[in-house]
Amino acid sequence: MGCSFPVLIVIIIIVLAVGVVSLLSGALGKAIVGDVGLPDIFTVDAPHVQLPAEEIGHIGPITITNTLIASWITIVVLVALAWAVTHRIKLIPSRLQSLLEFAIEWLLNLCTDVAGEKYGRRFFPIITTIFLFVIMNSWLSLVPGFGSITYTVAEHGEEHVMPLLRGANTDINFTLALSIVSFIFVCYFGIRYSRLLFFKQFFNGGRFIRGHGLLFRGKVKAGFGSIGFGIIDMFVGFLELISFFIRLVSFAFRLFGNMLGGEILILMMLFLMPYLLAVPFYGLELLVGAIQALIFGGLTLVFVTMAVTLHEHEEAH
Amino acid sequence: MEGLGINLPQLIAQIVSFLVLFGLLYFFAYKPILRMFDERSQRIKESVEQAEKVKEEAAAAEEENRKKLETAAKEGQEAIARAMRAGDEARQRAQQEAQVEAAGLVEKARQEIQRERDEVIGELRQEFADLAVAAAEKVIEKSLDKEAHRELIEKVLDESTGLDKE
Amino acid sequence: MDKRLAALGMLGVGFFVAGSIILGVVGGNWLDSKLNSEPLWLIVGLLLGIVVAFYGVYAMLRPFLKDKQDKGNS
Repeated sequence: MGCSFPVLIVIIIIVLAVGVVSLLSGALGKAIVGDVGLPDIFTVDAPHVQLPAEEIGHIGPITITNTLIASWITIVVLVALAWAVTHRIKLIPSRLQSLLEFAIEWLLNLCTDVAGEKYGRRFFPIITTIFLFVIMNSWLSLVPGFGSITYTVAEHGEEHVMPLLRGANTDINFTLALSIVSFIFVCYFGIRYSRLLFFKQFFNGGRFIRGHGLLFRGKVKAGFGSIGFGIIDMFVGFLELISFFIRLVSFAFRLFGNMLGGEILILMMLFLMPYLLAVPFYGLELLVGAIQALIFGGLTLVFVTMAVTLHEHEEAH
Repeated sequence: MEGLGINLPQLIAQIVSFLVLFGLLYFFAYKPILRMFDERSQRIKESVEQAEKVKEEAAAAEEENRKKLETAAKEGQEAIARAMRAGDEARQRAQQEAQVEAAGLVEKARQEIQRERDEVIGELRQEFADLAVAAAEKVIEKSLDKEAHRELIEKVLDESTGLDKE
Repeated sequence: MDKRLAALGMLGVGFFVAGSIILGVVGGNWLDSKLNSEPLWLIVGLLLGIVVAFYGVYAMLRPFLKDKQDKGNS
């Protein structure tokens, strides 16, 4: 231990006190020992789970939701961080610059490792933006006070109290928007570098049509064989097409589910036992945010790499 | 769909905000940082190349120095050898000259001695012959033919080995 | 394809399977309610979802399977 004995004693006493308060004020403690009448300030309300983002106001035709505001805050934070480093970028980096450089270099290496030198640099900006956006969204929503700023809306004579900020990752619109961007990106580069092969993986009717040609020229056996395999080809292409779109949906729902789940988990832990029990889950959520960002960026990278290297696979078969 | 809260304007707003972030980060983060990476790697490459060049130059200079030293040493040795040879030659020549001179002197001395001896012998002979003739004249009181006497005496002298002419 | 890349792809397998089956069921149900043909399209959607799920998992596993075959051949 790096501290003296009295300090250790004080720390233990504080932790014990927090533990007792959290046990007595939480729902779990109340169920076991009954309400001992602690002031309201120690208790945490039961979370009410709401899937859609709460509306805060309107600017013209656009509805402003709390998740949209949170995503703008993320944008501001990221751009401010980038600007703080790059407006006086130096060859010999300062501490902040080396931090950002480390992240950028790591992502650049990931891109060039997976996609190769040729494509890696082209994919890098989108992949990095996805990664940084997702990770910053989830980490910013863990900042204390992020969810506790409330906003009251009078609507139909009722007053709704809602958080002003909510992690953008917990809004299906955000995750869906991200996966749509990621899939447009995959399609764009797939069509640009694989040309017709990109469509051929979904609509592979070549053998089917050739079979008819063979049948017409009187080669019955070869013709029927070709038609048979052609039908299988087309079915496989159909499956590819469906799984292509399911990937889009599963991208969106994976991020949404994981992040909303984590949010609810933390709120639940705060409700059950404030202060103490939630701490490990905050750590867990930090990790989950990083992993989800890596999965989203990494899978996009995998799919775009597969889409641009279709011809290599064709040659391999 | 309603339960999840999917609606088109929200979706579009989020797509737009992603694109805005992408654009801003592209200009404020990726472009300058990637350029910096390239610049840095370029710089590193250059300095490595320069170090290599300096090393090569140093090696070349050293090689040149070594060669120079070698040639200098060789030249020095040659000079020493030449000097020694010249010294030897001079000594030999001096020796020879001295020998020749000495031999000449000895020869001259010998010739002188020979000549003086011959002279002395000649004079002695003359005197002896005259003495002998005078003695004989006294003895016989008769003057012999001087010329015949001399021949006689010469003959006697020639027969005796002690005072032969050389 | 890179092995690590394929492994990264496997991270998404759970939601892919769930998504394909749920989408099949929801789509079938929707078609049924439109066409009043319960439960025909529900079953078709479910089956299609399952087939797509298995196909997708197979496609994601293909790099590993191929690698094993290559090793077996050599």
